[in-house]
Amino acid sequence: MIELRHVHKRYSQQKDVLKNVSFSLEKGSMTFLTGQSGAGKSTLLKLIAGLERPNKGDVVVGGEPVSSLKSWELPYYRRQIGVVFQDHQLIEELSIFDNVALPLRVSGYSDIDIQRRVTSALASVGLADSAPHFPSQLSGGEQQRVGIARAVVAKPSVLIADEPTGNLDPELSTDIMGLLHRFSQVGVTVLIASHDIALIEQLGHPILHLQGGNIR
Amino acid sequence: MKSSASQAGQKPTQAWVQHHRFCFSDALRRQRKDLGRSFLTWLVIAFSLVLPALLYAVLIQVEPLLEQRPEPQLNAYLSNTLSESELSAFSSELSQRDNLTVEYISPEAALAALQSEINTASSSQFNPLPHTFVVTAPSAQLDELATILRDDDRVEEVQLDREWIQRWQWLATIGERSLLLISLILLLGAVATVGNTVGLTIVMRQHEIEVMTLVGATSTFIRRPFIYHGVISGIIGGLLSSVLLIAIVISLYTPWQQFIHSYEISAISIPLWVWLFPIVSGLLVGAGGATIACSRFVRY
Repeated sequence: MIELRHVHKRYSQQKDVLKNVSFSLEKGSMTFLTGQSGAGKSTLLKLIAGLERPNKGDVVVGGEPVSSLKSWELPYYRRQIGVVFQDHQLIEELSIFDNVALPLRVSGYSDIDIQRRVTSALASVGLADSAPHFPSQLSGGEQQRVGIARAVVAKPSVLIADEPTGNLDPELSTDIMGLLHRFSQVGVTVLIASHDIALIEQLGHPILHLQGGNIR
Repeated sequence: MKSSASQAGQKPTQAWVQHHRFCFSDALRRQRKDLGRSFLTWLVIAFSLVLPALLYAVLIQVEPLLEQRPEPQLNAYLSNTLSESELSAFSSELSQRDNLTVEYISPEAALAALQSEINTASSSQFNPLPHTFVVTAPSAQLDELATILRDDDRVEEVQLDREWIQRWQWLATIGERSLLLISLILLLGAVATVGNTVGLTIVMRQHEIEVMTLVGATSTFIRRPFIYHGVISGIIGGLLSSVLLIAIVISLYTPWQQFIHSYEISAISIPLWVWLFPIVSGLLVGAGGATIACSRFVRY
């Protein structure tokens, strides 16, 4: 489902962030990406999300060569990828419903479909009653679950999460990981960047460890 | 790459209409939410648009006055020392020329007219006014006649009124062009105001734009709400401008009618396009300003 072939990434004059990175992930798998701060975890996720382009090598997602997509094609590609961030990236001025509905509005879904899908996505993260509220009215854990609902509402084939439990306590972290695992069970390929080694080992999923720009 | 609308099981036109509807209501909601700042922008647009509309309305009213200019005339002032026979010879020389209308005003008649105009009577026998011949003719012929008469010893002075008319025409042209330039400057000012307001809104919503990019919004999708913001500001500003224009016209109606009637012409009703000008130009100003702001500040 996700395949990286000999990927190199360098930002301007800096040293290589990623050096000859290659791996592949099966459809419906859940994999963790670990490494120290600055190891290139976020860069790797951005390459998969089509937010950055590699200097060398290929990123292929669902058979689509992401690295060779034209600029105007990238937004359409991004609609097939769900992204969860450490800091939720929710829009404060929009209600929870409208935040979750954003990927659907972007993709041109009808109002009826939006209503149905958002209600279902919020129910799947246990926040069915929070639709009319605003992000500031929710706790950190709830906001992260809204972020996950937004990432899965358009039923993406790939879900990537960048430190999704970074700001949460252990109990909530386990809760969020369990939620992400449920999506992998229904065929979504999940890749999670995290440095919470204890939690990762406890869950027992495959791990890709980034060190010095390479996968170890 | 599949089109988003087909992925969503919806016709592309339906998705397009739906997004336009969403952007319109969202832009309205945001302007209502920030009413104070929006109102100031509307006022700036209204003031910028009302002046050109008002000046054009005045120009339309004044046009008949400009066209009401007299025929070109030549005044030949002859020496007071000329005898009756010399005067009569001069008169018959002029009358022999084709296409000329000649009127003779004697010094006595001129003095009487002057006294009646300034409402006084003089007992003095001294009359300094000259013999005057007023000649009306086509412009080119008057030029030629003026040259001949200036070389004539019997004529003390030749005054060609056509120069005045020419100057009047130049003034009218300067006025019209100034009006056009002032209108253009004011419209550009309004475009800059809308561009600045929309630019600020884009900067304030940068986080939202980043999130929209992440979830797959195209550049057009991201820009559309801001274009609507500009267009709505422009239309509301234009409507306010029309209201201002109506108020100004009503307050000036009576004195203007009196002024126009004093020239023995009737007032002309202001055409529909002058009333619509602020709204249409407001729309264009809003769209133009927002497009400039988007190309400057939206970099996705």
